Amino acid sequence: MRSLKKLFLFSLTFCVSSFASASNYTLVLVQGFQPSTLGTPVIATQVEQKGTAYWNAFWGARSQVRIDWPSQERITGRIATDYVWPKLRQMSINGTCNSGCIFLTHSTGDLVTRYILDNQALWLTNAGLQPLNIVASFDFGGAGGGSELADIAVNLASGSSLIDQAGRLAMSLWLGTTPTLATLGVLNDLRVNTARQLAPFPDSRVPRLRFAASASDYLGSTSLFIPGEDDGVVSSHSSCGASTPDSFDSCSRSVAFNGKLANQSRGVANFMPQHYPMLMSAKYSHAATVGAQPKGEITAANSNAVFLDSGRLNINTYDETRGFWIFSSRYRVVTDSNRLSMSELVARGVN
Amino acid sequence: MRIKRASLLLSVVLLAAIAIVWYRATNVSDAPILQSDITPSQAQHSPSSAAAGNQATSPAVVEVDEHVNEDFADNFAVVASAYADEINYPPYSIPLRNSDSQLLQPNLYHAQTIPLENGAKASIHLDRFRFTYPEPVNVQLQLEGIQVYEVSLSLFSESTNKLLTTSKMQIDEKGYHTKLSAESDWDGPLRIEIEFKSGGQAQIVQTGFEYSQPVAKIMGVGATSIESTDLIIPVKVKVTVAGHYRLRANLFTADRQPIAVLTASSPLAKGESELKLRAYKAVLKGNSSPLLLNTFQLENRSAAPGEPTRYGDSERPEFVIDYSATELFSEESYKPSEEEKQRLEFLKSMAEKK
Repeated sequence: MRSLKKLFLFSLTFCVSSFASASNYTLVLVQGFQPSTLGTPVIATQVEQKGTAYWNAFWGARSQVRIDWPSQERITGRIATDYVWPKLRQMSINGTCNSGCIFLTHSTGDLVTRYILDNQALWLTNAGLQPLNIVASFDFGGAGGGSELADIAVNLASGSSLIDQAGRLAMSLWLGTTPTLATLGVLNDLRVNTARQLAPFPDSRVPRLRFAASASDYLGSTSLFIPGEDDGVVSSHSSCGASTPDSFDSCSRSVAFNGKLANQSRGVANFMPQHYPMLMSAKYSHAATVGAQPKGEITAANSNAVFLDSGRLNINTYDETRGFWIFSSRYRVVTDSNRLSMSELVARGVN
Repeated sequence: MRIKRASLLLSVVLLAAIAIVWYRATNVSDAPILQSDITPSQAQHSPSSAAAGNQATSPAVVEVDEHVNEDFADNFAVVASAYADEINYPPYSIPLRNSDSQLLQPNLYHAQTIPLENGAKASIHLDRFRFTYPEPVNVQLQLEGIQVYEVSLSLFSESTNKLLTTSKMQIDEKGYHTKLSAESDWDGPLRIEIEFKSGGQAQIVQTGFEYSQPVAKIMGVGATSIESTDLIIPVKVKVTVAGHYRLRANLFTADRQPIAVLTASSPLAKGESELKLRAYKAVLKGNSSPLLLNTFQLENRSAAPGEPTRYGDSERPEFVIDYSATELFSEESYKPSEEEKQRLEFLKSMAEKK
């Protein structure tokens, strides 16, 4: 009887272990906004080619399924009907997510995924198909909270002749062109209010794991128009998953983007439902978060570890005999982040 | 024995480290203590220059950085623990805190500032993001650092680009305002464009919001009852357009402290119908009747891709909920769904060191 019990316990442990093994899950990539597809209508094969190129740097070779979409369309419109739905349907028919899927998103892919999480079960059930089993999402530079740049771009497209030159320059650096009303597409969805009202609270309680950055690809020109710390495209209120679009300096109340352990009075305290900040870095830009190149140290937004102890380096003192202050700072650094990219760290964690 | 030898060795190493630190601290003009990174401020204000007799001016600063490594997996342990706490409660009855601003004010409009020339700014302010017919829409244009004239508003459908109405805006202490009286054909995402002139140049600023022709209306709340672990709150709904409905509402104490956000989903036919909100016993713990139910969000959900979500409204903004006999709740606790358990196991597996 005891051996039977042991066998049962062993089987149970084995089942849970294999069940829980992250590498068993199908990785589904959901791309972000691509300015190059804004102006000109593209056909489905071109969307797929651009999707391949989008993930070419790192994740493309590591995933089995992608949901590609063109930026000149709206999320609830043709992106949903012509690009998302055929993939969801196919994944359901093929049983792609029967054991579980992990969605890995970049930028606006975060918003597209939130819309999927809120609707896929009902859509597939109504079509007589099995809903997808989505276990978690990894969101790099998530734009689910919208981008203030999109609000400016849409205003510029309306013919705002008085928009300041710095704003115009930032838009041209980001988009590569001046948008027109007819070519705004998904930029309409990326406006802060519109983004935050799109499927804001899915029932499914899928954990949204956030990977945020605060360097810029645009020489800081776009950062002038984005509140708080930003990655050149989205504010930390979005990438961290904050519940309000305010000016935040960190995804954490106790560690800065550069890893410095100190009270962050403007750190995010309240998050959107099931949004959890994971990694932050002051060295990565919006695009670099899904790239292969290591850019520098990365810090953990959450920790059980107690770093703020009374160790010698946390004592700030004035040395009277020599007349100088000693200020000590402590930085939390994720192991190997000096030699591995943010994406590589995540990939190694999953496998 | 091995442990003792290791302890002895460790003690010797520690003593040596303390001696080195003490020596360096007392001979700081030679080198700062344990510096792993030296910041620019240190390069400019080196201890040696301070020791050279600069005490009369501002004190020099030595900045010492220490980098502490942490495994990526440790992050997941924290998240797994947080997720485990969340799934202690059923998804239809989630605890609500004063800090849950998104849930407490789900229909908030966040004004965006548009940068104009010479540091001027413009922003459009609305009472909320989503309106329901026949609610009027109050629009405020706020300006900073710019004098404007001939301010007018045009309202368009975002999906068809059709002009729905125009209005001249009136000057007030904050900027310019107007009140738009709704029409029965306003439905879906709309775009406000405000045109004004300044220094002979025309300028348009714009924003988006949603207007909804109600597809259902909350008419009232029926008598509560206890069912297993939950307090059942039947919400009476008059349905104009059949569909799969989702109702969210916030539950408060009588003195307006948040208790829970409640959710109910069900297909509803046209006519008089009912959605049952459930308050899980754990969220009611320590609270007593009566309670308040408000912040209604009634959605006729998108049934298929491309079909928009439609919205309903409520006859009244708030209903009083009376209940009794909480001792009749069953002893059971909420058991997370298989999907929720799998998600938790995934987070735990990520927390394991690779």
